[in-house]
Formats: sequence, C-alpha cells, structure tokens
Amino acid sequence: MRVTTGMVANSVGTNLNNLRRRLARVETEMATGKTILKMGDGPSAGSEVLRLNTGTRTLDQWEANMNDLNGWVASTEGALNHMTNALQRMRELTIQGSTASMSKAALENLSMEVDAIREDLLATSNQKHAGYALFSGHKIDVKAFDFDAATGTTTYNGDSGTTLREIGPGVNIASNVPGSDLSSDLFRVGWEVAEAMRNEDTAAVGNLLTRIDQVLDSVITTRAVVGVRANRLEQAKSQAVDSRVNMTMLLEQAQGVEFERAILELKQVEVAYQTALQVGARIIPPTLVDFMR
Amino acid sequence: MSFGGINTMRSALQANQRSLQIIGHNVANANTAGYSRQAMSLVAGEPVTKLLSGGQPAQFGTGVREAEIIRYRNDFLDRQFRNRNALAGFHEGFNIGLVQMELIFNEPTEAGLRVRFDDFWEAVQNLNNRPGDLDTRIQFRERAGALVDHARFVYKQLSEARQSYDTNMIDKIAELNSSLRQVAALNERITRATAGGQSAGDLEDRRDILLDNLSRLAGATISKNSLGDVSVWIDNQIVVSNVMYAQVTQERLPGSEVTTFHWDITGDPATFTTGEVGALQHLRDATVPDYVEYLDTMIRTFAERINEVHRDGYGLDSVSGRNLFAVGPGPLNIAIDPLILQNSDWIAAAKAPEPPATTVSVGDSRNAWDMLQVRDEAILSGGLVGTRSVTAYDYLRAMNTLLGIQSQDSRRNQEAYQLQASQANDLRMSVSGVSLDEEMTKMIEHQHAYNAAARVITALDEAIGQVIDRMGIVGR
Repeated sequence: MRVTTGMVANSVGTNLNNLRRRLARVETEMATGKTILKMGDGPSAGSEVLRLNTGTRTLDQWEANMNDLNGWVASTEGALNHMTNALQRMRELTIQGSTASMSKAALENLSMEVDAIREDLLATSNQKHAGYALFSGHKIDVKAFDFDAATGTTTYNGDSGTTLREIGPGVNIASNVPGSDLSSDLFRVGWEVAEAMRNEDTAAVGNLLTRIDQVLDSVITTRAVVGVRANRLEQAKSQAVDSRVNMTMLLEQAQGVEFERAILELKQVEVAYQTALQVGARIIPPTLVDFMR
Repeated sequence: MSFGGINTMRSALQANQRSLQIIGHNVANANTAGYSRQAMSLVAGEPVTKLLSGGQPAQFGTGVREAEIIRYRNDFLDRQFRNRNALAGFHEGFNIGLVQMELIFNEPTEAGLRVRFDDFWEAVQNLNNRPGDLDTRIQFRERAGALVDHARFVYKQLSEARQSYDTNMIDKIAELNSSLRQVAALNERITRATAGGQSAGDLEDRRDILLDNLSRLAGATISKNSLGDVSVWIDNQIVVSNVMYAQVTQERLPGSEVTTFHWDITGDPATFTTGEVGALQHLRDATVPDYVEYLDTMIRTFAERINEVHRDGYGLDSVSGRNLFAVGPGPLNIAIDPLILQNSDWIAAAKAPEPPATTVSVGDSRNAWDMLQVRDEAILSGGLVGTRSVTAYDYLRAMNTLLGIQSQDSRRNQEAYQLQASQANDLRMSVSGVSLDEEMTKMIEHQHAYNAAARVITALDEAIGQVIDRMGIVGR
C-alpha cells in the first residue's frame, strides 16, 4: 500500500490523542477514587450505586430511629419498673393494714404512706419523654391522667394512639404505650385502701389485696410487652451493623478504584505515551529533500 | 536532414517542463485537505513512416506527447469513506448530546434527583416520629419542595438543550444549503471543462471536499454521470442534479417550540436520519422528548399518589382533603401547594380524630406513616417499564440506566465508526495523497530527462550547424 507523509502524521496524531485520553481517564479515576462518575461509565454498576446510596441513607434513618426508640423504651420501662416497685410496697402496706389488731394511729400512718404512693404513681404516669407526654397516646401535649382525691375518679386525658417507627425492612415497632393500656384501677385502688385504713376497716383493706394484685399483673404484663420491643431493637441493631458492612463493600465493588490496578495502568499508558512521542518525532521529519544536493 | 529531430526534442523539453510544473503543484498542495495528486500522462508521439537508406520503410518516433493530466482518485473508496463518515458524524453528535443529558441528570452523584428523593423520605420519617414539632413540619415541606423543584430544573435544562440542538440544526443546515449550492455551481464548471476536453482535477477536488462534508452532515450519497457532473441524494430525496439544487427552508410554526424544515423544490418535510444533522434531529425530536416524558411521568405519578394519601389525612386544624403538591397541566408543572407554603400546620400528618374527640391530636402521625409506605409502592407502569409495576426509585434507576446504556453504546459506535472512517480515509490517501519522497524522485527523473533532452538538442544543433555553416567549405 502506498503510504504518504500525511498518512503517517495522521496516524501519529490519532494515536497520541488516544493515549492522552487514556491518561486523562486514569488520572480522573485516581483523583476521585471512583470508576463510575456518570451513568455511561458503566450503566449497570451505576444502577447498583444508585440503589446502594439510597440503601445507605435508609439504613442511616433506621439507625436514627433505633436510637430514638431506645430512649422511648428506656423511659417507658423505667416508669413501669417504678410503678411495679411502688405497687409492691403498697401491697406490703396493705397486708400490714389488714391486721385486725392495728391501732388507729398506726393505720393513720399507713394511710399517709399509701396516699404518697398513689400520688407517686400519678406523677410517674404523667412523665414526659423528650418533650412528649409518655403515656398520652397521640395527645402528646396533654397531661395523661387526672385523679380527683375527693371523689376517687380517674380521668384519662389522652387517646389510644400509638406511633410506629421503621427500623428495618418491614420491621416496625411502636414507640409508646398509651395510657388507655394501663389499668383503670391504678390510682383508685390505693385511694380505697387509704380510705379503708382511715376508717379502721381492716377487713376491707384485706379484700383490696386482690385488686392490687390485678393492677400489679397488668403493669408487669405491659412491662413485658415493652421488654419484647427492647429485644427486637437489639436484633435489628446487630442486623443493621451487618447490612452496613455489606453495603459498604458492595459500593466499593461497584464504583471503587482498585489503586494497585490504576497505578499499573498509569505506568503502562505513560510508557506507551512517551514511546509514541519518541517514535513519532523520529518518523515524521525525515524526507528525501533532506538528502538531495 | 530535417528539423524533425529538434522538434522531437522540443516535445521532450516541454513535456518534462510541464511534468515538473505538475510536480510543483503536488508539492505545493502536499498539505491541502482533500487534494488529489496529479500526474502527467505521457505517450509516445504518432510514428511516421520513413524510408531507410537500406531500402526498407520504418516507423520513426516523433517524440513524446502529453496525453492528459491524470487525477488519482478512486470513486469506490470515496463512497466507502462517505458511508462511514456519515455514521461517524451521527454517533459523534448523538454521543455529545447524550453526555450532555447525563450531566443534566447528574447521577450517580449527590446532586441528582436520587438524593432529593432520599432527603424527602427522611423528612417523612422525621414527620412520622415527631409530628408535633414545627421544625419537622418545615423540613418536610422544604424537602418535598426541593424534590419537585429540582425535577422542574432538570426539565428546564433539557428544554434548553433541545433549543440548542434546534439552533445547531439551523446553523448546520445553512452550511448544508451553501454546500449544495456550491456543488451545483461546480457541476456546471466541470461539465463545461470536460465537454471541451479539459481535465478539471482541482475543481473536482473542491467538489469532493464539499461532498465529504455533505456526507458528514447529512449522509448524502452521490452518483456520477457521464458528463462529469454528480447527482446528490439526501434520505432518498434528490437534492442536486446537474445545475439544479434544492435548498432547505425553515420556519417556526405558531405554538411550536422548534423549527420545521422543508425542501423548497418538493415542499416535503426535510428529515435527516444520519450524519450530524441527523443526530441533532434525533436528539431534538426523539431523545429529549422521550426523557422529558419519563421524568414527567415519574414526578407526576409520585406527586398525585402522595396527594391522594395527603388528602386522606388531617392538618393540625382538623381539616382534611388538602393536596401537598399543586399538579398542573404541562410538563413538570408541579410545585408545593401554596396553602401548605402558607402554613405548615396544614400538612396532613394525622388521621381522623377518634371519637369522642373532634380535634386532631398533635402527636398523631398515622397519615405520615401512610405517606412513608408510598416509598415502596409500585405506582408506575407502562412506557419506560412496560408491563411491570415499579416504585418511583426503580423508575428513576431505570431511566438513568437507559440513559447510561445509550450513552455508552453511542460512544462505542462513535469510536468504531470513526476508526472505520479513518481507515477508509487512509486508503483514499494511499491513492490520492501526495508523498513528498515520491514527488522528489519524480522531480529528479524529469530534471535528468530535461537536461538530457537539452544536451541532445545541443548535439543536433551542432550537427545541423555543421551542415549549414561548414558544408561546402573546403580547405578554408
């Protein structure tokens, strides 16, 4: 095939251009650490990156929700524990107060302690967590319970609403226990015990023991429900840690630059480029004109 | 003794001198684009019959004749090159447009629609967790707004790109029109020259450059006629025939966002399927409108579904039936509803109050929870995703993956066809290109021949001189 000077120059030019393009590409990859900078660089890898980036954000949100739930669970469990201890103390006092041989003054003292426990129970039920009422259901801005000591009437001001939080794929946990789930006898039973004690009606005091036990049972049951939530939280947490490790690894695979490979390629292209430059410089200039007299 | 010998040598001097001229022309045009090298075709002159002194007749040569100036050009290689050039031009233009669109959509970066969707769903979760807080309501509103605003921004950029393709088309078609005009003019000059028996190498070169350009622009194909003129076709329309040429007219029809093109001779619409103009037309009329439709479908369906859920819910004023987004006619005509902009309390995070309550509880986020479920709902089907039903996230991924595939394909095609075009061009240059070494060698040949011919003339001149000046003079 006949080869003209123009063809040689074109060929050298095109090859140098291609090498420069490869150099620029390798440089960009090493500078950004990513092989996928736009979708055309690798459409299916790009799609994976999109999916994994969203997945990471969702995981972040789940972990935030888990931390949030930990707070709610801790507060609720704490309140219920406190109520359990208080009710057990009330039970002891009730047993004492059911002894027929108790003096009026002794019963008077007992009744004062029972009243104090009842007020403590009320205060606990009206606790707040992070500015939201703990036991008011959706009515987070409202005090959960009122108790009229004159009539012995309990008023629940909240509703039965629960709020769900997402902590994993299809894994949802309620954050709160609405006050409607607590025993309606929670405060009344203590009030009746104190009343009976003040009336020196030790028989009546003794009869109220059953009701105290019922209230205790319901609080313990509720505490168990919250305990189950705490367990599920634990599981979800460890699963989230695994998911995150997995996702980070997949992201690296999809778009990460293997620096060893990139540096090798850089070296190769560099050598090829320099060689092409040298060779080009040697084959383009000489023509017959240089040698003619 | 006659002057025939000198005449013979005179023809040699002229032939070699003219050949040197042509060599000079080649050397001068060694770097001219599209130049086809020329050479003098020399033939021996018509012999004459003379009687030899031995009695036999013999044919004597009469020197050298300049037969014609050869132009080294291969029509088949031209055709090959132009076919590939058209495809290379198309894919180059197409690839540039697709890369532009990739940058507009800007995935998979932290500046595209994906991250705005992520932000929105995060805000929904926060609204669900703390519906009574003012900042979660405001964050929800801001992020919902940012999502649709960014989609509208992407649409605006796509529209601007579409306008730029239209403008580029106008520019390139002006170039096309001018080239067609010039080809017809050259046709006339060339046919006149060849009718008179002349060879018109340089004019043909000029015309071939225009034809190369026409192939890159619009995939023009040609056929050569016996008179030396060419007919040019673009997409099965004949646009140059001898001295007649067609032109593309343009107009902006009322209500249209882009220019319409017609061929003036037939009045038919001018459609370009290949070449650079073909790429621009495809981008302008098919690719960009397709992606605008995908984008609009995705955001509109998403907004309408969220609106559906939002209308089911109650604001803090215990009123329901409000939209979150104002969805209007026209592409991406979607924004946050002005009522919600006015008052974030009206964001419907709650559901109907449970009797006996008549007002919404501040901590009720059941409707926010329902909105969250839309994230995993398969609300989109048809069009881009065919018979499947997919979530908004899936649709976004599918749209961007398709764009990536198209971009990658067009880049590979461009590289392949450009390589093929270069190879075809190399073959052309192998036939038509000037090799300086070759020209120098020829130059030396003709120089020597000229010098030798001059020497022979001197010898003949001396011989005749002897006869004229010195014959018959004896002993002087």
